[in-house]
Amino acid sequence: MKLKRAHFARARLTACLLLAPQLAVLALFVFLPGIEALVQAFLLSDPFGKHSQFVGFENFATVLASAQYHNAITRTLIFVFFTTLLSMSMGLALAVAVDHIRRGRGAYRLLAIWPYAVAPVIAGALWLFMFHPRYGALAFTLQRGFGMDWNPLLNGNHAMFLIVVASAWKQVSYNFVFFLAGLQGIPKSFIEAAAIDGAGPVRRFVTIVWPLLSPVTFFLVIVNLVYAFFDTFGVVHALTRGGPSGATDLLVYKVYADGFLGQDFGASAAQSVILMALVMVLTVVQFRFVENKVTYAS
Amino acid sequence: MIRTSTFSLAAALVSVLAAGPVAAAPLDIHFWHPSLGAVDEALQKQIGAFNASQSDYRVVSSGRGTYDETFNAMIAAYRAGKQPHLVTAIGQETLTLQLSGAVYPVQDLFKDAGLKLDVGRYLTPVANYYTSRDGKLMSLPFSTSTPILWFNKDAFAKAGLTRAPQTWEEVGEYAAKLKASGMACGYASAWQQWVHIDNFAFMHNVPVATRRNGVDGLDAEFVFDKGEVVRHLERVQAWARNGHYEYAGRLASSASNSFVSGRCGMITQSSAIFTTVRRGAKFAYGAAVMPMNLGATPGPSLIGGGSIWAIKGHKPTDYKGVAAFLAFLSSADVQAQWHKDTGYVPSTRDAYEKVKASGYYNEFPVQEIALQQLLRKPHKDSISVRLGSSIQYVAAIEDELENIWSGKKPAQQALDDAVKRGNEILRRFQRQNAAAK
Repeated sequence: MKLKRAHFARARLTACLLLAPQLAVLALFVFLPGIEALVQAFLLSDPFGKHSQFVGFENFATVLASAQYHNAITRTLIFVFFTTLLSMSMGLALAVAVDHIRRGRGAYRLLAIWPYAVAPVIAGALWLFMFHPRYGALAFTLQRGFGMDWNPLLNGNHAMFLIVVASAWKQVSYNFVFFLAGLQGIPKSFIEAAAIDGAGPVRRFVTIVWPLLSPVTFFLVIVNLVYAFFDTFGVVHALTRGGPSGATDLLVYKVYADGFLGQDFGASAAQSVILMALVMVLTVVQFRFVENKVTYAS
Repeated sequence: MIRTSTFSLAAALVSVLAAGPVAAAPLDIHFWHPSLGAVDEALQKQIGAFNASQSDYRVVSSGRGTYDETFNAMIAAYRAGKQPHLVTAIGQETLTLQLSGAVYPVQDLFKDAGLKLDVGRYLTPVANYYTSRDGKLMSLPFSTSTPILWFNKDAFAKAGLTRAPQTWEEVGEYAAKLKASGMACGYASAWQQWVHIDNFAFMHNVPVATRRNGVDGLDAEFVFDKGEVVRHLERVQAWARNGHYEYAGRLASSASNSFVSGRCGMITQSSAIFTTVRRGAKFAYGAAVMPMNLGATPGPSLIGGGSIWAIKGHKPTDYKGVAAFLAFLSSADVQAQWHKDTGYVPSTRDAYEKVKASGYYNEFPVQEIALQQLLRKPHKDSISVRLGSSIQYVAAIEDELENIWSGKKPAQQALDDAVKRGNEILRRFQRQNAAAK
C-alpha cells in the first residue's frame, strides 16, 4: 500500500503550529481574495464600488455567450498545449545534457536556472526586442535570411508563436531544476546494468530513465499547466495586448484586461471563477486518470 | 479670505497663507502620477519649485507605473480609504471619474479654497474635454496632447517632396512616393483608434457616437461605421495592401520607433513625442497639422493625455493646500515651462502667448503645430468624445482595425463589427453606472 498522506498520530499540536504560518498566508492572500472574487462574480458594480447590484448568474451567462470568450478558450488551449510541451521538453533536454556533464556542471546549472528570476513582463519585453518585426534582430534574420514575411503585429500565428516561446522560455528553468534532480535520483546501477546488457543511450532513456522520472514529469505537467493558464498575462500584455484581432487573447489575459484595465470587476471575477473551475477539473482528471500511470519509486 | 483676481503664483500663495493653518510642520499633499520617463524630471522640477515657494504644504509625489496601473492603484486605495489627494489620470477615464462620486471637482475645490478659476484661460478643446455636462471643470488639464503629423524632411527631399501633405489624399500620394524612393514604409500611425476613428471623425465633424459623442448622456451608441470614416479606412486599407501604410502595433512606442529610426517617412502620433523625436531622430524632421479630406472644413483635434483629479475623503484644510498646488501648476509660467520641457501642449492661452512672445517657436516650430490645430473654431457638434469603459472598447475596436490592416475583413464589415462590440461595452458601462448618474 502506498502512503501518500502524512500522518500525525501524536504530535498533532506541533503539526498545527508548524502549518499555521503557511495557512495564515494562504488565507490572507489566496482564500480571502478567492471568496471576494466569488462574491464579485455575482455583482454588477461601478469601478469605485459605490453602487453594486446583485445580478445572479448574469455575468457568467454574458461571458459564456460571447464570441470573444469562445475565441479566448480556443486560443488558450492552443497556447497551454504548446507552452507546456515546449517548456517541459526543453527542460528535460537541458537536464539530460547537464546530467552527462562532468566538469563545470554548476555553471551550466546556474545559467539554465537564471531565466526563472526574470519577471514575465520583462521576459515579454526581451522577446519583443528580439522579434519585433520592425527592429528585432532575430525578426530581421527571419525576414532577410529566410525570406519569411514575419509579422506578429498582424499575423495571429506569429503572435501566438511569440507568446508561447516567451512563456515557455521562462519556465524551462523550473522544469530543468526538477528534471535534473529527478535524473540524479535514479540509481546509477540501473543504468550501468542496462548498459552491460547492451542497451544504447536511447533505449536506456526510454525503458529506465523516463519511467523512473514519471513522478517528476507528472508534477511538472500540473505546475506547467497552472503556470500557462494563470501566470502568463504579463507576457501577453508586454508582447501583444491580446492582438492581433484576438489571436493571443488568453483567458487569463481577458481576466486581467477586463478587470484591471477595464474595471469591469463583475465580468472579470466571473471569468476568473470559470478559469479556476476549468483548471480544477483538469487537475482532478489528471490525478484520477493519469496518476495511475506514474511509478513512485519506493 | 482674499479673492484673487489673477491666477498668478504670488496671488495664490497670498490667499493660501492668509487662509492656511498656522502650523510648524508642513502638511503633506499626496500626489500619484504615472512614471513616464523623461517627463517625470520636468514634473519633479515643478513640485520642487512649489515646495520651495511656501512652507505650509509639502507635495509628496509618487510614480505608480503606467497610467492604467496608477488608476488601478488609486481605485484600490480609494476602496480601502487610503486614497491620495491628487492623481493624474488619462483622458479616457474622464467619464468614469466624473460619474464616480469620488472626485472633488476642481472648480468647486478652487471656489471653496477662495481661489478664482478662470476656465476661459484654457484652450477650448481642452476645457470642453474636462467639463461636465452641467458646466463644471472637473479636473485640472495638465499633460495635454493631441495627434499631429510628423515627417522626415530628408526622406521627403529624396522623394522629391517639398512640403507636408495637407489632405489625406496627399498622404496616400506621398506614401507611395516615399516607398518608391526606397523607404521601407511611407506612413504609419500610433494610437490607431484615436487617430483613424476618434480624431478623424471629430475633425471632420462626423459623429463617433450619438448624443454628441456621449457628452449628452450615457445612452450614446457608436455610429462610426458609416460614410466618411468607412471611406477613410477603405483608403488606408488599400495603402496597407500595397505597403504604403505600415501597421506599427498597439504599443505607441513601437510606432514612434518606426518614425524615429527612419523607417517610415510620415507618422501620425501625439505632439508629446517631441522630446523623443528631438533626441532620437538622426534626420531633419518636421511636423504639420493633421491632414483633412480634400475640401473639408478643419475643426480642432481631440485631445488626449492626462489631467489631475482631486480625490475626496480628506480634511478640508488639506484641500486648501491641494488648491494652492493646482493653482501653481496652472499658472502661465509653469504651463509654459512644462510645454517646453515635455512637448505637451500648454493648456492655457496665456501660457501659449507667453511662449510665442519669447520667440521659442522660431527655434522649435514643430512645438506650435498642436496649438494651431487646437485653436481652430470648434465644430458645433464635436465638443468631446466621452464614453465609458474606454480601455475595453478601444481594445475591441483595435481588434477590428487589425482585421482591416491584415485584409481579413473589408473596412465596412470590420467597422460594423467594431460598432456592435463597442455598443455592448457601452451598454454594460451604462448599467454599471445607472445608480451613479
